[in-house]
Amino acid sequence: MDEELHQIIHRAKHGDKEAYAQLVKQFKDPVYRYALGMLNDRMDAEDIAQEAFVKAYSSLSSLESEFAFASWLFKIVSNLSKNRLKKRMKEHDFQEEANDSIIDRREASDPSERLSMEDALSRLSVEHREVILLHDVQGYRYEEIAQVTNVPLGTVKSRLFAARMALRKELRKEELA
Amino acid sequence: MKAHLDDQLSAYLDDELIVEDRLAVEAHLESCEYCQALLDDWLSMQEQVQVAFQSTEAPISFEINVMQAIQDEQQVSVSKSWLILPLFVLFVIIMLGIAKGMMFIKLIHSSMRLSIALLYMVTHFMSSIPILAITAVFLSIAILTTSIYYLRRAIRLTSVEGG
Repeated sequence: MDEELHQIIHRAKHGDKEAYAQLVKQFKDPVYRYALGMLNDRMDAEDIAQEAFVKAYSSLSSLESEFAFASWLFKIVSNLSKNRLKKRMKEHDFQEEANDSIIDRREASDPSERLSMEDALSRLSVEHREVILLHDVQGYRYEEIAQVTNVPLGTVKSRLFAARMALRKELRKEELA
Repeated sequence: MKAHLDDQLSAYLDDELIVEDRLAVEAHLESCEYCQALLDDWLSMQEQVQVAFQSTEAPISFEINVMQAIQDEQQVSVSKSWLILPLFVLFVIIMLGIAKGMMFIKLIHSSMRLSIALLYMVTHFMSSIPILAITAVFLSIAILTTSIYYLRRAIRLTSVEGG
């Protein structure tokens, strides 16, 4: 982390709102990108990214090391995204119970439509999607991923392998169709 | 059958292996077509994922919205802090009420114990002096008879007025 960024985080931590605005400017794209990858919905991604920055501002004083700001911020986005996905699942279950046939028709995919990478990712489990996004999109090393996801280094390694195999399977399924 | 590398291969792609492990993977790759093909697939996938997201940017108004949301949240917390004083006063009143209530319960309890003690003392005193007990019995009968008489009269008067 460069010294300038470190100084900005330090000032923001001590209540400097302008410094925090600079942080938002610097991290908004990666945070939004990550939320979009997790949720596959632009409205939800914007909502979650905004919520994450607001939450981070209010609990910035609890950040132990300024050097860990990025992984700490991504941990907040990750937790908020997972909560949103759980909420979505519950709503989906409720709707499914209310009207099974409508959901079935809506979910039937159009065979002529090519599966985008975002869609393929959204078919993976949350954990698999998360590691692919953190590694391949955000460019995080295994150790940083372990910090964000709260799992041991060995789990990051095996999870990334499993995620790649799952994504490959999804994309191949599409090629064969 | 030759075992494939699985997560070692994935870590090799990510440059997360120590030198010895990396060399071992490279040696395996020279003779394993399956792992070579897998590695190529993963490399291509990695590029596709990067391409899919590299042009994605947060909406233009995002920064303004975040700072506005922070401002709003702070205003809410300031207005909430104004509630602290009235809530504290309410808390004190409730606590006093509870304390007084406890005192009231204690007062009832003490007075009941005192009444029982007094009753016990009176009965004990009366039983020790027989003439006093007999007088009390006659007095009680007299009060009871007078009460019944006046009660019957009151009931009769009410029924006459009602009729």
